[in-house]
Amino acid sequence: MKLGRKFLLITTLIVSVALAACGNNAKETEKSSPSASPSPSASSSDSNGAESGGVIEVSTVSPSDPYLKFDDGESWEKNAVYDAYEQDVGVKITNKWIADISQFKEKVKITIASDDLPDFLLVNATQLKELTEAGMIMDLTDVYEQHATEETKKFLTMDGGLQLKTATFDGKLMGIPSSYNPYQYQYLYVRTDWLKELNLPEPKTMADVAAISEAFKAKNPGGKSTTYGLAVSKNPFSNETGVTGLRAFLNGYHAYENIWIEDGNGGLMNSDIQPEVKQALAALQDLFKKGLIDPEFAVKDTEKAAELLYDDGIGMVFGASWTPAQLVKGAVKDDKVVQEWGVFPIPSVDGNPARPQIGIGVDEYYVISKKAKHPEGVIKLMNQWIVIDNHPTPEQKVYTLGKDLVEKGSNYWLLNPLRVGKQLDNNGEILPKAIETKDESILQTQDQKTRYERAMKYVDGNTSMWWEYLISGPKGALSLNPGIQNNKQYMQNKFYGAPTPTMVERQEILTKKRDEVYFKIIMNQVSVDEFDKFVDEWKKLGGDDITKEVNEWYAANK
Amino acid sequence: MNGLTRMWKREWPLHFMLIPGIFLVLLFSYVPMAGIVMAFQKYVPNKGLFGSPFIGMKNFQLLIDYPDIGRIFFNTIFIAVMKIAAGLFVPITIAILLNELRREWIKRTFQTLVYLPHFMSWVLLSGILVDVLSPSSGVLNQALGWFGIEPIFFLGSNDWFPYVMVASDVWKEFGFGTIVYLAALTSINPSLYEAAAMDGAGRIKQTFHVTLPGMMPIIVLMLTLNIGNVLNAGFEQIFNLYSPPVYESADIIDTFVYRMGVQQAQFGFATAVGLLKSIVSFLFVSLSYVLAYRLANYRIF
Repeated sequence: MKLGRKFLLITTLIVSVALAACGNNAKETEKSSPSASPSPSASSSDSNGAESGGVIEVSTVSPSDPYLKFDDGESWEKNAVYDAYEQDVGVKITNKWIADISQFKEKVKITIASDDLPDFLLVNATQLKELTEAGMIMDLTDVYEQHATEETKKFLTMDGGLQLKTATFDGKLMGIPSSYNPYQYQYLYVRTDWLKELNLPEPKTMADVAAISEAFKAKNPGGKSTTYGLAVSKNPFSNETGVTGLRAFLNGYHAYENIWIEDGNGGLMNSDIQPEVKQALAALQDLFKKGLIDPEFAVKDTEKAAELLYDDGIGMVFGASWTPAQLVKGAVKDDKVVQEWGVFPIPSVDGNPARPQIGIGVDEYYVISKKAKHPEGVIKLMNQWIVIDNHPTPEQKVYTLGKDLVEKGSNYWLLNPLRVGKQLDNNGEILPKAIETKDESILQTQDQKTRYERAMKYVDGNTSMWWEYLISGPKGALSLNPGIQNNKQYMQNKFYGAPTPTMVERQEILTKKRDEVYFKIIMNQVSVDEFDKFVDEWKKLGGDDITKEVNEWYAANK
Repeated sequence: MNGLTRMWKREWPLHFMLIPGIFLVLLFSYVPMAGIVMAFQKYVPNKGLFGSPFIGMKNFQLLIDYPDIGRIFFNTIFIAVMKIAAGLFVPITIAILLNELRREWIKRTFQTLVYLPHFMSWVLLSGILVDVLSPSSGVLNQALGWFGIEPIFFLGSNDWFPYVMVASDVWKEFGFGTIVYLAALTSINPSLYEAAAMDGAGRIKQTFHVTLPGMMPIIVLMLTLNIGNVLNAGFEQIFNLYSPPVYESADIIDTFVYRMGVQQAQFGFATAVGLLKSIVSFLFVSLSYVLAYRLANYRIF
């Protein structure tokens, strides 16, 4: 009896101690703020130098990435990249917290909600707006003007200043766009070995696409029992579907998926309800009726839909420039290239070339907390990043490779706390030429060098790099870009403001109704004339209000 | 020293042991209730519960004004009620049948096998179901083909989708229910069966007049608890299996709230729907509790 009671008591104590300990742990990890982890690094001789114009300290938060492999003895607290920033630009970087990349965005939300911002951090467009309205972040107009170098200013306005404009509210710059190249097109990928075998011409028009689909199915060069013409997956209209989507198919009919385009009267209109879409849907329905689209596409995700590409069931798919990285799973088997793929610009339904649709090229922003003591430090980090990312001296490779300056796949570039990408690249002009002539000297950026090296490995017989050759090689996807770029043969979304009030309330139902109707038409469950009913419904369900709001925004921001 | 003090002296460790439990319940069940306030706010995360502006019933208004709301409620209740009914009938039947088995090891094996799917997540099972139900290569349609039935696109047809949801949910969960009812069966006094046999009741009669009445308290308990789920048609399952062509028959409150609340970041709205669901569930549970007491003279508490 006595023993029993003692046992209970002890158990209780252990449980409560354990609980208490858990609580403490959580707190400590969260609060590993600058002050909690002083760990003076080698170069900062006096940590009080902040005020005296020596080393200044800025805090941020970082996602820990599985691809990042630290050199021996290095960690988030102390590593070659942070040391380099401290030495070269006098900015000491600390992390308020580090979270696994899968939880990073959630943790950022919590950080914002609990008003516990580090000096700077990466947020999305909605958060940028919220933080601006809540007055939690700094107006960067002056800091940027004073401390950004000429090179930085040029770098961030390569696109004509559109991306910076998306971060500007009432004339105040509230964030630095985590820019990337918006000129990312989609292309048509076709099995060229099959084209040759069946003696078919290269696809130039959408009619060719239908004819090739039919020939691929009827003559079945892959010799499979399940064959279709075009690979499609269950989110064909989503932005995230880089392969097996149908956006590019719409573009071939001069139709576009949910972007705002000029209506010809000086205003904007939504592309989802334009008559060109009806035409494209009718064509898709026709393909479906002929059995050229997998009747089960509505339940297959990209990976499942791509299986039919891997095992010779389908020979045609629309996709982004990196599609070959997906195709390689089927194209290269046992170190041998067993499928030949070619890449073509999106064919057009008529004489006018098709325009691939593109966005603005920025969806995240670096913001600086209003409480930050040294906002100029953040700008300095950015200046330095642009230098080392685009034209590093041999010593500056430490920022991407670590202190031994050897490429060993440790992805040290992930340690750079503020990264902005080029808004415009000339990969399409440089890479195909360089690879064709094996001329390393014309390569300009780090990205080009990496791609060149990979493509050369393929040229030298390493088939695992097959995909890079189809992306960057002489007849690769990127080689098609200069033609599109120089003729401005793309369709860019004209609306880049924050979601309007009616959008917030109604975009969900509009997208739902649209998907429902588009799918049913494609799957031949309803007649293509249902599209007209959908257009009326779209307008009534809030589409007209959204159009009005977008046009008010357009009038103010033109 | 009076009796109370003596009792306290004797029992204080027991009370002490309660502390962590009470603490957890308070922390995870009562504190979050404060979040209900979001249902009446235009919730802005960085302004928090105290800073966000109040907008009265506007979130509820938005729900009522939603064009498809009737359809969504119908789908939810239709699928949920069928799931509750089938989830009661199938495990009870299986439990009674299993109970009749003589060999213990067959019973145990079967029990374990049907219990297994309960532990798998819908993310995993949905991948399997897509394959099994595929009209071109699925096992089920091939089997139907032997009887000359044309392949059916179960997951792409509005006529079939809700029933597929119910059937697959029952398949996944009936093992769990069976175990509960088997446990209830063991508590029936064997002398009742002996007496029934004396009176000339066969196996069937015994089942209806001894077994079922003996299980009644547990059945009523399970039903009462399940009735609270009348607005939970199973988010995980439907979210992983539905697609635009079956929105008409598959879109339920939870999938709608996911698209609206999470994808469009309408936290206040999502909370309002959650609150509404809780109120409805509470009413249903209360009602079934009263009914259980009136009709079956059974009390849970």
